[in-house]
Amino acid sequence: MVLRLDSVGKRYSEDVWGVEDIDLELEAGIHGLLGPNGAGKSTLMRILTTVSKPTTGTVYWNGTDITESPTVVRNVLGYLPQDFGVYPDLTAREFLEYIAALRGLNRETATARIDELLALTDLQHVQDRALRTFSGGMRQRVGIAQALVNDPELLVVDEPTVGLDPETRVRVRNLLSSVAKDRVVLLSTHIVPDIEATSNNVALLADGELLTHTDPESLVEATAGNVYEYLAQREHLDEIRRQYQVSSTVQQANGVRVRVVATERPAPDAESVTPTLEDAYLDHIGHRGFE
Amino acid sequence: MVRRGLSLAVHVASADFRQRVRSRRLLVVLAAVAYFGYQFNVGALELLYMETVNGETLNYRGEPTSAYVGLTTGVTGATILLFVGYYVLTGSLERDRSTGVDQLVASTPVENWSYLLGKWLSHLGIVSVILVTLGSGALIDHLVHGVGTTNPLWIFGAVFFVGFPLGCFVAGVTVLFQSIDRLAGTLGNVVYVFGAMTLLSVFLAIAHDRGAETTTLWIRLGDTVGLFAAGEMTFDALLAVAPEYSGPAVANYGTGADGAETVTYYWGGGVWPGWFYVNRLGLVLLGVGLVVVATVPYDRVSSGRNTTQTPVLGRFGRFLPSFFGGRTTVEPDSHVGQNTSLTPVTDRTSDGFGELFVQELRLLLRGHPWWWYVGGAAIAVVGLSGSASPRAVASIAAIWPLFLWSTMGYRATTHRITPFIVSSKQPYGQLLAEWAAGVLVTTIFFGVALWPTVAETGFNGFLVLAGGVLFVPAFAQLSGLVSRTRRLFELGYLVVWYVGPLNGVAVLDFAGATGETAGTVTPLLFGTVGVVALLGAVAYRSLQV
Repeated sequence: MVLRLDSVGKRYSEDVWGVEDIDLELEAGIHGLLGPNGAGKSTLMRILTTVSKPTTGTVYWNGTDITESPTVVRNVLGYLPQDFGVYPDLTAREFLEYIAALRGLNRETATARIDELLALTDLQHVQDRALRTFSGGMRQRVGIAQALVNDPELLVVDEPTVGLDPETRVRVRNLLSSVAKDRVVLLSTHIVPDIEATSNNVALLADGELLTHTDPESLVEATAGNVYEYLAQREHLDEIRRQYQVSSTVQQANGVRVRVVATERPAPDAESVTPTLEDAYLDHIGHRGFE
Repeated sequence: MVRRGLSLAVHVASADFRQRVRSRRLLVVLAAVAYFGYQFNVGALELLYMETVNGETLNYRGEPTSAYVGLTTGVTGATILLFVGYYVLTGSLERDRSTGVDQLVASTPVENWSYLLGKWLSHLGIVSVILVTLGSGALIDHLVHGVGTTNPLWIFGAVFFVGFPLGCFVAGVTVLFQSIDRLAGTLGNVVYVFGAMTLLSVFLAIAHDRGAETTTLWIRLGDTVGLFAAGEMTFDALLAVAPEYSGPAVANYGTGADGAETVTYYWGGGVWPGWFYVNRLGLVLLGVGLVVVATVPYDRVSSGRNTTQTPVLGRFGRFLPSFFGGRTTVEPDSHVGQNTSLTPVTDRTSDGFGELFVQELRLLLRGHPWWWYVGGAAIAVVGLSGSASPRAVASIAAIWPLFLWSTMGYRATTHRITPFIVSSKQPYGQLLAEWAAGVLVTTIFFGVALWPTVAETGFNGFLVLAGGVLFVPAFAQLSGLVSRTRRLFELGYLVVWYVGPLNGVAVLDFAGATGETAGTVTPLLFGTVGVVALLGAVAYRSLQV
């Protein structure tokens, strides 16, 4: 199975593009979609899920144009939008039954899947409670369950771990990894460690353009030699932030230990360190996220 | 402190007003208002004095001077605000609830009265936009068709003097109703339209019985839309051309009787009656008073949507097993993603219409207050027993499910389910399943009311039932889909229901309440409208997918 994007673009007004000229090929596995706010991630996901039509280009699912034949992908799609709603008067189980019906599952299969997903997302004990009484984290878990209810071949999840506690976040990551073996999973998130922990490939998006689509190791390798750590004076921190991409800071008794992405050694005592995916992300995105 | 509160209210009003004027929905409202004003200005709809002399109807209308155009447009504006204003203005608090803005506001030092006053002021901004639209249309109309000098002061002055105070009052009612959970939805819409129609009907009846000049001051003080004031100001001008005039001393809306002679009189302006100043000031103060009252029920912390109150059926459903010692809820020890394998799905090809229908029916019936179910059951019992007047049963059966119908089409939008639907394999199936669920409910309610008609008139009675069943759910669904609110359907439906089934105007009696539509073209027309609406809903869905 393969999802291929050929010069896909979405224009919102005369000179405002959500995404522009995206070429991408996604095969089985988890593909992380990273980018700053407004990069076009959600726009791209809406196109891939047929919620929105591209202004230019074509999206193919196993060779079929999904704009012309959306049913081809809708049959096998699981989708968790970033900002999704639920029917507040339905219970968790009833809501999943509703989505299962929309996704074309027969009653027996739906019942079995829903039982399992309620267990997987730890919602069994609240399955008969109206969704209006759910906390944000519980609601998010319902969202994850509904995305998996039809055992999708193409799973598109937008910020799936938002609102989850750290333990549940890890478990959701594991869940996504376990279901991704023989299907295409597109995972959009701002949480780089989630991508680091799960994704076989990473697509970097900024200002509606695809910067790169590669495996995390290659991305990190490209940043090798550009990441430094050193101890700086607190009063110099603002200046350092202006000059470099600061990946992290750790307060110490004698100053601040800063980790920066820089093309040249930022200070005489700065030592080169092994980059992480977060460093690589900052290196590629640069200051785009703040423009 | 008051000064700071007022300042905050202005900020609330400013943000709310800016949000609303940037909505395309307001453009639709203004277009509708402008169209209505145009119809009025070109004489398709007029304020007419009418009398019958020797069996012949005579209509009297003023020449289109600036003063006359201003006065009648003002009365028209007030009438529009009385009937439609509530529905146009009412989304403000609801939007804050659905977007979570109310939670942000609740965490700020803004006092409730400041917040509600701000909303009221924002409403007045919208009222002003509506009146400016109407006044501008009247101004242009006078420039093109008018008599004498075009006087913007008379035109806009009259439009605002008559219309704006009523807008203040309607805005106050809106703020109050939106602050009371029970009245924030369909029930409030029903109560309002009943109240507005009753208010105007009563005053028109009084006017026709007694005439403006003989009514007491107290009754004139209740003149919401300015009909009594208009009558008092123009009546002498009418008598100048028709000294023997014997009709009501208050003009009324009409299109003029077919073949009736129309006589024009000249009215170039005059002094507003003293009592009318008191009347208008009273409406403004009432509006402010309602905002003050609204601060009592308004709950900034917990809005109705987030209530954890369980619907009565749900509570009953949980009560039974616990009473009989059935299922108990045990805190499980399972965790997300642990120790559970997933059944592979190999068949995703189920058409699923039956399942979808069940789901949509559940959504339609779920979540209403307990008294709605009790009322529904009572209608069924009374209707099936045949113990009450069929007209009364049909009228009530045609209004009771309004709470259900009005959620059709708009439910998925308001709960942000649309992305799930349009990305599913059954975007059209969902639409048809929702419609079919609406048809079933409508058939049950109309069926219990109309079975005597069907039994009596056979196929013609069946057509009456079918016309209503085809019309209502499709109209509701299309209105909800397109407007993304339930108010468009509720307003349109309530007006048709009020005139047709309730007041017995057979041509609008889609529910067969009058018993006069069997064998006529009326059921066929409503059925056709229903089919067209259903096709419209399918076409709209095709744009979504």
